[in-house]
Formats: sequence, C-alpha cells, structure tokens
Amino acid sequence: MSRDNDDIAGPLGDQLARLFAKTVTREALVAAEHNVFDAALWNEISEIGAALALAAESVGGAGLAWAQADGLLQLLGSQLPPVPLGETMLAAWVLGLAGIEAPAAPLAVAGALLQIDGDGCVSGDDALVSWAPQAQVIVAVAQGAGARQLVLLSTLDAELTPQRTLDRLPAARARFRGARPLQAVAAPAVLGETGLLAPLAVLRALQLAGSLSQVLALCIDYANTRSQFGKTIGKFQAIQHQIAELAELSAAAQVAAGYAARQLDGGDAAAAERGAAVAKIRAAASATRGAAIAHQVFGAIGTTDEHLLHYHTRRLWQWRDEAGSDGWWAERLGRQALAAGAAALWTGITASAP
Amino acid sequence: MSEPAHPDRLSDEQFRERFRAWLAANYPAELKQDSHRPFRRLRGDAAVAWLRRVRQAGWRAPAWPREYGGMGLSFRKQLIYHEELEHAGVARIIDLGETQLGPTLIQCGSEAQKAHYLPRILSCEDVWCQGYSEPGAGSDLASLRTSAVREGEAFIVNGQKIWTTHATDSTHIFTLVRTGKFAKKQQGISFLLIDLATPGITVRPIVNLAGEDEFCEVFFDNVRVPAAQLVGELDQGWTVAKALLGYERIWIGSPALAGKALELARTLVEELALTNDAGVMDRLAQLAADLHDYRLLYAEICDSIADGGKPGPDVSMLKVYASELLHRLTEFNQEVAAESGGIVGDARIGGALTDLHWQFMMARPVTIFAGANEIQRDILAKTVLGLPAEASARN
Ligand SMILES: Cc1cc2nc3c(=O)[nH]c(=O)nc-3n(C[C@H](O)[C@H](O)[C@H](O)COP(=O)(O)OP(=O)(O)OC[C@H]3O[C@@H](n4cnc5c(N)ncnc54)[C@H](O)[C@@H]3O)c2cc1C
Repeated sequence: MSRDNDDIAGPLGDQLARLFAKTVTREALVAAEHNVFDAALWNEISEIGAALALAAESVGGAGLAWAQADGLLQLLGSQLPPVPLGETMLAAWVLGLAGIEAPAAPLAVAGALLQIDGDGCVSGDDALVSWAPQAQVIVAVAQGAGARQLVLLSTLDAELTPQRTLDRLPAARARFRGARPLQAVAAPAVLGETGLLAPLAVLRALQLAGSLSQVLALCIDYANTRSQFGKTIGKFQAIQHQIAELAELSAAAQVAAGYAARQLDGGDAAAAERGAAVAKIRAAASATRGAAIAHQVFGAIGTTDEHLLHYHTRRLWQWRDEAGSDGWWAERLGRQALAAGAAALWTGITASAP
Repeated sequence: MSEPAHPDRLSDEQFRERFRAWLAANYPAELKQDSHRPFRRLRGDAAVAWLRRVRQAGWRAPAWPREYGGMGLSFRKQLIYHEELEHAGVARIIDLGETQLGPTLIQCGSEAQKAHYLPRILSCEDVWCQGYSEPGAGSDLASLRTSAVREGEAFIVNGQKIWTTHATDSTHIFTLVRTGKFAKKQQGISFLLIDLATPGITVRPIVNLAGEDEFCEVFFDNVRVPAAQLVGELDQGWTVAKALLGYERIWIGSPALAGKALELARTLVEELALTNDAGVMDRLAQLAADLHDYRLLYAEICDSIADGGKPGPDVSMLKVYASELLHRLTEFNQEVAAESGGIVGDARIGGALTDLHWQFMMARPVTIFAGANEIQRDILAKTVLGLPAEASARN
C-alpha cells in the first residue's frame, strides 16, 4: 500500500472507464437484468487485473488501498458494469489480508454474520446476497466460540432463494445449515462485530456516490437540452435550485464514502465501522433525495423503461437499502455515541482523520 | 335496500350510511385496497365490470346532473361519496369519461354530442383517454403542434400525442389540436373528440419504470374526424379544457392515497417491531401529523366550495402538498423495510404480505403529471400571492 500505487490506480481506472464506456451498453444492461452473465466483460476485467486491485501483492494482487481505489470503485456506480466486480474486489481484499489467494472467479459477499460450530460447519441466514445465483463462492464471516472466522462457502452448499430486486440483478436469500467451508481462517482484525457488513456498506456508499455523480451529469445535460416555454428548462430557477441541491448531495456522498475508505485502510475495526456507518447514512440520504430530484427534472420521459435514468435510480434505491439501511446504521452509530459519553463526542468528530 | 333514489331527500348522514351499506354489500373483498396493495387500481375489463354494477344500482356519476343520467349530488355529498369509497377500500379507477369529458360536454358540448356520448360514458360502451401532451409540449402545453385542418365536413388530423394513460384500454380520445396560428399560442387550439378505431391512428404502449404498460404514444396520420366532433368553438379549445381544471385538482388532491400509505406505514412499523425506535417513531409521527393537517386543509377548501364557492388557483396547494406527502410516505415505507425495501413483488414482512415496490413506483410520477409541482408553485406565487411574473418566463 505505498504511495506509488497511485501510479497504478490512475491507469487502471482509465482502462476500466474505457472498457465500460465500450461494453456497458443498453443491451448489456438489459441482458444482465434477464439473468445472462456477461462473461466477455468479466474476462476483460480479469485480464486487466481489476478484480485483484485491492488484494495484497503477496497473494498476487495490486495491493491498492481503498482510498487509492476510491475513483475506480465509484466507476462501478457511474458506469454500472453489470458484473460483481465490487464484491469480488472486496472479497479478494479481505482474503488477501488473511493471506489467502482469491479464487479466480466472480465472488459474492454475505454481509450477515453467520455461525460456525466446533466441527467447523457454518449455519445462518443472509436475507439478500447480491450475485449469489451467479457466483460459485460466497465469502462470509462466521462467529465461532470466541473467534470470528473468514470463510469461503460454495453456493452448492447454500440454500438459495432467488429474490426479484429493484436493480433487477441476480440476488438471493442464502441459508446455510451445517455447510462445510471450502476454506476457513481467522478473520482479519479490521473486521469487527459487524463482520463484512461494514466493508460492504462502504462499497455500496462508493457505488452510490459514483451513481449520484453520473445522475448529476445526466440532469445537467437534460436541463440544457429540454426546452419548454421557449427556453431550456435549465434556465428556470426552480430547476437550477434542484440541480444545485443534487450537486451538494452528490459531493456529500463522495466525501463520506472517501472518509470511510480511509478508515478501512487504517485497519482499526471500530474506526472502520464508524466510517461505514457515516458513509452509508450519508450516501443513502443523498440517494433518496437525489433520485427524487432527478426524476423531477426529467419529467415524464424519466419514468419510462426506454430511458436510461432508471438504471441509475433503481440502483440508488436498491443500494440504499442494502448492507444495512441508513436507519439501521444511524441507530448503531447513535448508540455508540451515547455509550462513549458526552466528552468523547466532540473529540470523536473533530479528531483529524487519516 | 340501500338505493340512492332521491339523495336530495336524504340528510348527509343518511346518504353516507346508504352508500356505505351498499359498498359493504357489493364491493368485492378481493379487490379492496389493503396493506398488500394500498393503491390498488382497476383498469380494463375489471374496471368496466365494477362501473356497470355501480350504474345498475344508481350510484354512477355523482357530479353529473340528473338530467344527464348522473346523481346530481351537492358538492358536500360528492365529498361524502369519495370519503366512503376510501373508507371501503374501493380501488381507484381512472375513468376520464366520467370525471373529465362528461362534465366538459355538459358545459360546452352541443346537444347532439351530449345525447350521443354521455349515455355511452355511463354504460362504459365508450372508454376515454386524454390526448393533450406531446413530445415537445409537456408543461408548455400550449405549444402543441398536432394539427387539424378543415377539409369539407371533416378535420384531417396529423401529429403525435404522448403519455396518454391507458390508451390501449380506451375506445376514444379527447384531444387538443392546433387549428389556427395566432399571436397568443393558447388561441388556435381546438378540443376534438376522436374515435381510436379511425383509420390512420396507431397506438404504441410505453413501458414505465415499474415494468407496466401504463401510458402510450398515439400517432395520427391523415386521420379524418367528422367536423361535428369539435367541442365548443373553433380555436377556443384552451378555454374548454381549462373550464374544469379546478375540479380536477380537487379530486387529484384527495388525501385518500396518502391515508392508505400511512396505514401501511403503521402496519410496517408494528410488524417490524420498530415501535421502540425513537427515530422511526419520530418520522412516523411527523407524517401522521402532516396528513392530519392536510386533511383539514383539504376539508376547508372543499367546504368553501360546498358553500357555493368555485375552486380558485389556491387548489394548486392541494396538488403540491398531497403529491409530496405521498412521496415522503412511500419513501418511509420502503426505507423502514430495510433489505425488504428492495424486493420487487410480494414480500412477507412479519405477519403482513405487502408489495412495497409497487406502492413506491406508483407514487413516483405524482409530482410530475397533472401540472408538475414547479408549475403549480408558479401559479401559487403569481396568482395567489401576487408576486411578479419573471420577465418572459411564460408566454
Ligand atoms: C404517469 C403519467 C401519466 C400521464 N398521463 C397523461 C395523459 O393521460 N394525457 C396527457 O395528455 N398527458 C399525460 N401525462 C403527461 C403530463 O401531463 C406531463 O408529464 C406534464 O405536463 C409535464 O411535462 P413533461 O413530462 O414533458 O415535463 P417538462 O415540461 O419537460 O418538465 C421537465 C421539468 O421542467 C420543469 N419545468 C418546465 N417548465 C417550467 C417552468 N416554466 N418553470 C419551472 N420549471 C419548469 C418541470 O416542472 C419539470 O420538473 C402523464 C404523465 C405521467 C408521468
């Protein structure tokens, strides 16, 4: 995780952006929503090495820090490649921290904390695992007697109930009953009580921030194009004010998601969880209001299936609800603030963050 | 039996009881709005079947005068009528023949038009949709370009309408078309009735973001429309269409949908055991208080009309408030459900079966249609509050 890695993150991001611009067409998005896995896109991504961008160099990864990969993780939200790249990057990162090389395949991540018994068998439920129907392996954290274990589970050992979701991408409720993991190791220290939910929330926050920035660009473009009453609607202050608010919401989500990425890099579980909570609450609130603004700017055309806007807004609504809703994280953050006491609050907020 | 026969002779409360009893005995339980489908709506055959039953029992067209086959209810009894529909959980029906075209014809139509069309609306033989908007004419409706050129005893219509709700369920479309060019673009627009079976018309459904074919494009290619289908004077269609706008905004402003959404919110909070979550309860209480306030505002404006007033520009307030409240309520419902909020279709939440996606999606366009909220606020600012018009913002 050296500064030199900035030299890798930049070109990698550029390469991905070009790849997505070329391949993430409307047809590709529609196909993915009909359960067709985009193997060609996945192969190109693998060749570039993006799936292992966050994994340690010792396990064959590029060893980028989350903060360095901030921009390319946001591409997942701004350009919407319909493959589990974010999940796979996250999984390869955490496996790398545990010294394990990630399987060379698309991976799914369960945010819920599972249980592991004395025989090393895993049980538990996750209400919604994105991409589980198309992945062979789910990465999860399971609580044992005392220690938490990072486990690789075969989807063949899971009882999967596919769910239709707002983003129309593959997802399932996953149930494990005494599943024997493909691999199990002590969970890395950065994963606290909430296991993989915190990094998953950070990933969703980064995706939300990326999507919001793209929605902002779409709104500006449309407001400068659509004409009513003899002028472009972008000339009406009612529209200008809403788009300005959207810009604020988008910026706030980016700052919060970037903060959370740095907390993950810091390696401290409590700080990482606080960062995740802050980022998910902020990005989710931005998503709710931001999607409403975008639809208002676009009027009727934005409510059609033919228009591209809903590929973003449906994901804004979906990601907002996933990996702990803003209400859930807010409750947790609030309880922690209360438990830490009044004196700790101000220093907690103002401590110079890494 | 609970027949409305002479509603005038019934007190308001007697009328309410009769209608309530009739709905309880006749409205199919499986079609009710409930926590599963709080905004349930009937369209197509299901809507027609129910409306025919309503008609047979004499409860159809509460606002139409008796001489045209309606119930001729006072405004106050119309309000009661709508309250009872809400109370009984009767699904919404977009019946533009009854709510828009009928009253327009009664006010502006020729005797021949009234004699021909009104009975057919009541019997659902004709089902009407509204063809106003065009790709280039949304908020700026007066810039519409679909043209109607007089040729002998007919108009030849060319152009395109869009966002026509339920055109595929309809037999007829009432349109605003351009018949003349004047300095003021609201002039030169005419109100024309068109049979959708006329040669030269193509209807193309548009799928919305919830995956439903709710609205359509309607194309006109040299469509011959008999000149007798013109409503009101030539080039005066804008005035004809505006005549009923106030009443339309009143019914669109009804707190019924928001009421159903709040019922769902309560169910969710209970089923999810969130009643001890202060943050959630604070938001729920705020929504409940806002709906309560809104019901009072709605009642106040309706009362003033019942006492003989006419709907004024202040009814724009209703549209803005009701639509934004519905946004907030449906967002709340989706958010408290956390992971289940992203499920499309039926989801079991505690003991309740509900479809959060549908209620959420149905509520998205309410701030856009029937006059976008920006336009409504413009009206409030200029017409109600007397603030100056922005130079050249509107022409
Ligand atoms: C679900 C649905 C059903 C519909 N059903 C029908 C139907 O049955 N028949 C029919 O004729 N039409 C129908 N419509 C169309 C509806 O009337 C239009 O969508 C509406 O008039 C807005 O027009 P627009 O969508 O073109 O948006 P635009 O007019 O392009 O507006 C885009 C944005 O710019 C804003 N804006 C525009 N002008 C101004 C201004 N002067 N000041 C400030 N802001 C401004 C708007 O408020 C909006 O936020 C329907 C629409 C929807 C969404």
